[in-house]
Amino acid sequence: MAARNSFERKNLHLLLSLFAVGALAAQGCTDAANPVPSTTVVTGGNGGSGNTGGSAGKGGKGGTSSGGTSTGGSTGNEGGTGDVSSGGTGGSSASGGKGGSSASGGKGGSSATGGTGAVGEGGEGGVGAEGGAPPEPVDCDVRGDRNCYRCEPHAISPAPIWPESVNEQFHNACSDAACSPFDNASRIEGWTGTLPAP
Amino acid sequence: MLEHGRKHALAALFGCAVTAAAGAARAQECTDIEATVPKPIFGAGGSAITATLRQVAAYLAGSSDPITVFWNDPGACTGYQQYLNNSITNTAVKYYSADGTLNTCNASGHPADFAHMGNPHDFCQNLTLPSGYPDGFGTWESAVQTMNIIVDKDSSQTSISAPALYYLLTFGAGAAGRSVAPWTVPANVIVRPPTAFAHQLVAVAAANNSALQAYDDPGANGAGPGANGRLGFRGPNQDAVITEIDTRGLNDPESPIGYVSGSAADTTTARSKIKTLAFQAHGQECGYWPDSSASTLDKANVRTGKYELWTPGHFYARVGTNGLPSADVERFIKLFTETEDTEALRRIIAAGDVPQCAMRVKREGLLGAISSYAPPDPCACYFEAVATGVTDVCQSCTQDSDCTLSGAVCRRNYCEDY
Repeated sequence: MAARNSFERKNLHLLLSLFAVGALAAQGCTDAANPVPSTTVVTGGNGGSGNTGGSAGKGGKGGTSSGGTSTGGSTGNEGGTGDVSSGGTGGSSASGGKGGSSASGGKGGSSATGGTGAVGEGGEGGVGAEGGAPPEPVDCDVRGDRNCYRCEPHAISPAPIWPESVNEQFHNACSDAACSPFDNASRIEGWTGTLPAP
Repeated sequence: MLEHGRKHALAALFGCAVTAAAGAARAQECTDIEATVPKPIFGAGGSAITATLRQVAAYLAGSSDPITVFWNDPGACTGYQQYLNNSITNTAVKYYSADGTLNTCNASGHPADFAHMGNPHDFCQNLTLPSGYPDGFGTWESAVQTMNIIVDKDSSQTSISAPALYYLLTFGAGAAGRSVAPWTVPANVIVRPPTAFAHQLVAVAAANNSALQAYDDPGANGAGPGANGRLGFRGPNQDAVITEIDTRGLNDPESPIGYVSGSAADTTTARSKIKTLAFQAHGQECGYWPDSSASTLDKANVRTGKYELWTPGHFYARVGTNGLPSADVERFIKLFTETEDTEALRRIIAAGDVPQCAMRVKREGLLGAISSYAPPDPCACYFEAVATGVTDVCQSCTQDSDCTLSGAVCRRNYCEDY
């Protein structure tokens, strides 16, 4: 049984241990015989935590940046909105920047650092996330007496460039097989996430 | 005595030389051969199936009711067009004896009984269809074949993505602003003709376009095989691709890259020269190898749907009003599509293909979506035993009651899942 811990065993046979295999009818892997696995949706991410105001002076309100960490100019900035945004740094005599508001399901913004003015005012705490929908975990439990996943492909989000529909159980989940990621962004010059026309 | 023996040896050598010269000058006519062999059938198509077909053809030739298979493999769509035209022409049509010996003969306009391609009919460009098509033409899916993206065995690379392939094929290696490291030397990208199944599969995987031609393909304008200093070298066959990568990799193991079928990449000789990269399809977050490791041949990630560069082969044959081909052709094709004949199954597996009974997934079209599949007569355990030589992956048995796993059924002396 030397190969018992191979990937193949784990994925083709070990799953059998999760399910009692009863008497088998002469059926294939069909959706009728093997109900589509349901997915468990986790609602609401953790809201961002409020922040500690900065100790710098009060200043004007800066513009809103779009995501990322904004740096205060002469006046304090608000942190950008985004998945993980942080408040800006207060400018001279500025109020501390406002913590960024988080995107749905993202991380709440962190507080700004107050400016360096004489009568500084602490930055406003970031707005916590309201809890959006994080990526749905894929149900990797096989179904039916022949250990099937969904038997018909369907669209997933985000859709791959090609093909338009896939089963998530095969595409990016439900496997402990060794793999080697290829980082398109760092390896393909000019990669923007889409395929440029020939 | 010694002198006498030497003279005989020289005479024999001379005789062989004359025979060889004559053979080189004029191959035997297939029409002459077929008159002397039992039940000849003629087919044409791509070379991806040739190694497997040779094993099955030898088995048939040695059976108690022998069939002799003649096979012409000028390329998938080229061969398929000959089948549609019912006219096989080639100076080196292959046929096999029972011990697997390869012989060749000359055919000129010989009728075609069947065809095989990795790709479906629709992926061949500019086919000339016979009158009445598709009436009278049948199609059957057969064993799964993989396509492998290969690099020099000494390359440090481990994976490639579909977008990276797209950039390489579409803009050329080292294209300004669109290069893909480290495959930046144009002449070291080894391509195949656009009519080859190997190229079409890669083109679909990269761009969902089987007609996508490699940028500045040296053979695109009739220049034929060879390198032109841009993108790349057009290999006339799979062995040439492997040889070119090996040769170019001697001084620069990082930059050569190409693609061949799994059965070509997985031979002992090939694995001493090249290695297969993990492939990361569009939308995938990680690249997977066809096998669970570089040192095995279990095709685990193909059979479970993680490695995406695979497709079932397709047999084609003329059929009667009953939807069936001639009895001899039907018997031949069934060896690839059904599971009753264990020796044929063993030969198909040993040749590097994956019979459908070992698959747990199926897919739509050439490289479409993957879904679960439960073969009616599963052979995953038998596949692993034959393909890897490891016979204790599954429980051995002679009857169902030997199997301790609930629901398991004894098939081909192994306890399969059901």
